[in-house]
This record gives sequence, C-alpha cells and structure tokens, in this order.
Amino acid sequence: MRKIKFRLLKRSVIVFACLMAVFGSSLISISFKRSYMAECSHAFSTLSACASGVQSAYASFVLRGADAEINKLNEIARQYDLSAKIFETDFEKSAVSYVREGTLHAETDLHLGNALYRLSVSNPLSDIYQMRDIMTYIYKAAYLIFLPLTAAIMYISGRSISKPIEILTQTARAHAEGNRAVRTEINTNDEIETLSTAFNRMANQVEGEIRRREELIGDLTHEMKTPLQAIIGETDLILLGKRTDEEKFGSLETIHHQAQRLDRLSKRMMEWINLKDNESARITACALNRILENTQNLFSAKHPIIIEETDALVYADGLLMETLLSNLIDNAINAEAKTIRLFVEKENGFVVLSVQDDGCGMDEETLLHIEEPFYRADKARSRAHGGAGLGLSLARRIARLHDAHLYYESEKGKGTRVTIALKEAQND
Amino acid sequence: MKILIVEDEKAISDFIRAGLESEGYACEQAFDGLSACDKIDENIYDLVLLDVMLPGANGFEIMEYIRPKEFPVIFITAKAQVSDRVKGLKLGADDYLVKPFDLTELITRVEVVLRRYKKGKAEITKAGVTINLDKRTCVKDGLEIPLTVKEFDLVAFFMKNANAALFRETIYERVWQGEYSYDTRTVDLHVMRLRKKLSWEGTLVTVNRIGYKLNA
Repeated sequence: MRKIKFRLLKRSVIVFACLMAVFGSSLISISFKRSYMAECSHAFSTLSACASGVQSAYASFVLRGADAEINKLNEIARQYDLSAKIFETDFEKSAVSYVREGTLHAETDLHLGNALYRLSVSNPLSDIYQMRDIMTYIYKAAYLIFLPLTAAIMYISGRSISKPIEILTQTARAHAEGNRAVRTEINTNDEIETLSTAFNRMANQVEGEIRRREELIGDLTHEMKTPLQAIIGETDLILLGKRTDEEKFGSLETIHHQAQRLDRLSKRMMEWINLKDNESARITACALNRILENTQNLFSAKHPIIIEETDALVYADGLLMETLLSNLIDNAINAEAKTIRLFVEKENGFVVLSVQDDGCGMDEETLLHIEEPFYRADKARSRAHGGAGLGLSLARRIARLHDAHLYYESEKGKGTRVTIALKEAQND
Repeated sequence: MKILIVEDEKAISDFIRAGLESEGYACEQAFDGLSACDKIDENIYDLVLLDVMLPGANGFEIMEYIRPKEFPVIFITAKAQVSDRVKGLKLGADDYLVKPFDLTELITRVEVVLRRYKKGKAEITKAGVTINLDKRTCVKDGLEIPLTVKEFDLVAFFMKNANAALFRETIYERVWQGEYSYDTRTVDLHVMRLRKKLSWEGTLVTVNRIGYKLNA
C-alpha cells in the first residue's frame, strides 16, 4: 500500500534533485561562460591596444629612420601586455581567439611596412577554471546536505499527517468490529481534527440509534410475554386434561384473544419500524374532509366519531394522517370517552385539526412521558383493550413527517384534546 | 391449602387458579396492590404468588408488607435479568417464576416451596400405590418397589394428572424435559415397565391415538 509519507518523500526528492540539477548546473555554466567572454573581450582589447601601439612605434621608427627590429617591437608590445608576442607569418588570418592547454590566446594580423606579422597575447584562464571548480564543489556539497535534509523533513511532515489518519482508521475499525464506545482525540487543529470530530459525532449517533433500537426490542419482547403466558397457560391446562369440555371453549377464546393481541403488537411494530426507515411521506394537497370521513368510517363499528364538515385543503399524506387520527382515537377510546369529536380551525395559512374527547384525561406526569414508545398511562386498562403503547410514538413520527407537532391539553377527569397544525393548500 | 394469586392480567390469573385448583389447592385472586394488601391483612395464606409489575404498586413494596406475616412468596415476572431475580430473592422471596412458564413448572415450584415450609404433601396415593416425593420411594401393598429415576418421575407425573388422557409428547416433554421426536419409544417402554412393576396393566391404560391415562 502506498503511504503518504513515502509519496511526499519521493516527490520532494525528485523535485529537489531536478531543480537543483537544472538550476545549479545552468548557473555554473552561465557564470563560467560570462567569465570566459569577459576574458576574451579583455584579451581582444589588450590585443588591439597593443597592435596600435606597435603600429605607431613602427611608424615612428620609420620616420626617424631607425631600424625597426622585431625584438624592439616585441619589447614595446610587452609593455602593453607581458604575454605579447610578434612573429612572422605567411598568410593572412582574421583576428581570432582560442584556448590551448588552459590558456586563452588572442591573435591578429600586423602589417608593418610590407611585411606581415602576427601579434598574439595570452592569458592563463586558471582563475576562471578555479572559480568554476569551487562553484561545482559548493554545489555538490549543498546537494549532498540539502537533499537528505529535504527528504527527512518531507518524510516527517508526511508522517505527521498520516499518523492522525492512522489513529482515525484504527478507531473506525474498532468501531466497526463492535466496540461502539471508542472515540478519537486528535488535536492537530486542521482538517484532520475536523474529520475526527465528525467521526465522533457519527459514532455517537450510531451508538444512540443502536441503543434506542435495543431498548425498543427489549420493550417489545417484554410486551409479548404476557399474551404468550396466557396462551401457554391455557393450552397447558387443556393438554393436561384439566379443562372440562365447557371450559375448553373459554380457553380457546382466551387463546384466540391473546393471539390477536400478539398480532396487533407485531403489526404496530412493523408500522413503527417501516415508518422509521421510510423517511418520506407522500405529501399532496388533500381534502381534509375526506380524511375525516374515512377515519369516521374506520371506527363506525367500534365507537361513533363526531366530525364537522370542512372545506379545508391541506398538504398531507392522506393515509398517514388517517393512521395518526386512528391512534389518537384509540387512545380516546381507551380513556373511556363517551364523545369523541374531530374539528377544524383555520389560522394564518394553517389548518388546525383537533381530536377532543371527554375521557379520563391525563395528569402532568403522564403528559411528560406520553409519546415514549410502549409508555402506557394506565397499564391495566389499555392492555385490556389491546393497546401496545406505540400509538402516540407513531403519531409523533407522522406529525414530524408533516413538519408539524402534536399538542396535548388534558385534565384528569375532564378529557383530552390533541391538536396538529397542517399547512393549508391553495386551491389550484 | 390456601394460595393467594396477585396478578393484574385476568387471563393469566385465571390460568394459574385453574392449574392450582386442579391440584387441590384453594385459591384467591387479587388484581392490584391495594386489594392484595387488604387480603393479606385479613387472611392467612399458605403461599402467595406475587406479580412484580403491578399497576400502581411495586411488587417489591408489597413484599415488604408480606414479610412480617411470614407467608412464603413466589415472584412472577416478565423480567428475566439476574439483577431482578437477585433483588427479589434478597427481599425474601422463596422462588421466582419467569413468564412465560408452563403449568408443570408452576406446580413444581409451588410444591417445592410448600415442602420446604413443611406444608406440602409429600405423599400421593393413587391406584393403590403410594409415592413419597421427598424420599422418592414407591410402595404398593406394603412392599417397597424399586424404581429408576425416570420411572419414579413418570409415576409421579401420572399420579398428578390422574384420569386425564395425556399425549405422548406432553408426557415426554414434562418428564424427560426434552423435545419429543416421533420415532422415540422411550415413553412406551417406560409405561410397559411401570405396568409390569406396579401391576398396573388395567389401570395405566393406552388411549387410542393419544397416549396414556392413569385411572385412579
């Protein structure tokens, strides 16, 4: 597997090496060339100065009628440059410069009278060669020092980035393997710390979610035990021959009733779980009246529901709203209400729907817990009616899917009113 | 023998009552904490079966109430955790029943607790045979008849459920406490041996398509 620190190392080394190579060698070479050029032009200027000096000396010799001897001319030339030399030549050549054995020579033709001579000056270039050597040496030293230094720094930097990432990876793995309590503590004050914080938050969410599910399943199992006990009990009595034929009929009724209770429990559980996973409701413009009428029909056999006709249009998922209302009405029935009323008020673009009953009501303590899954205000009675305790928790979820809340007003002995505010839909 | 059943679920309370009455115990029922305490005040019971989770009252609190009376108590609960059981036992309960339980378990535990308090009937006599549940002896016509462990359990089971036609599965599950498989002849073999040892050929009868019945 590739590692950050090695990638960083490799890249930085390559970049450094290339840059240094290119930069260093070009610098040295350019510098050397310029020095060389300087020497050349210096040589040429010395050469031309010397040449004109010799020419004028020759001219003055001739004028004085003195003998223009080569040696004398050489001495004059040497006054201009110690390396100057004049010698005879046969053919013309232009002014040239060349390097031989580390020495720069510059030559030019010299016309003295009718004769052709050549003047040359030379200059050992040892200085600039030495300069170049020193520069090369410094360059190599710098290379040898800074390359490993850069490599080391880059490696360490890479590691300082990858270390917290490795910690995070290990923590994530531990979490995935079931150790839900692990969290990371990274304080690098950069993006990785942000990532680590996000991870911790996610782990908290997961832990919370798992705990809620486990509690729910625990509660469910608990709720199942009672009907199961009744079923096992009755069947046991029959199998052991302890029920007369008449009693057997009663036993069967009990078994049937309790089995239905288990069925209701399981259905409610499925509704609850499905709703949890199925985050979306199909919200459309609905005629609220239709929803109210459907709900009324649902309960026609169980309990009469009074509804007020309304022309309100709301944004809602019709089926979910019917489920919500059913749950609220079930609770009202459990509270031994005689009258259950559904009515509507309009307010500021909202349609406020209320379910009012004159049942036994709830005290403040109960109101606090009312929407917890499996919470029941009066265990004995609601169990007798087959309630599972999930109704209001479900209702709350449905309300949330509609961007709304359920409001409870209740007084013990007087009754309860539950309201929800839905958005009014425009007529189009 | 009077037993008080404190349980708020009527179906379960009735089932327990039916089961215990068939064993010859007299039962009274209380459906909530208050009436339970009233009854405890007014009467004497040989045993109290107490549901830990009652509406409006804590089973453990009622336990505190019973303690001075020194009635034996068996807790009934749906909570199976060790912590709850320990709490109950520490509070003075004599035993613990976890829902859902079957009749055999209920009756057995009741018997064990009663025997501990010297109230239980240690002996059962049916069809000319007397067995002693404490000593695990079997006597017929004054003669002690040696029985194996399972044979004794089987006799006790038949005696406790006398005159009832019992399914082979039921017999197997209660006495051998395992899952019945249809190719096993264990029950039949043991019945054969019992018939021989106790001369019960005409008493321990085969019931067609069902199993066996002890006529007593």
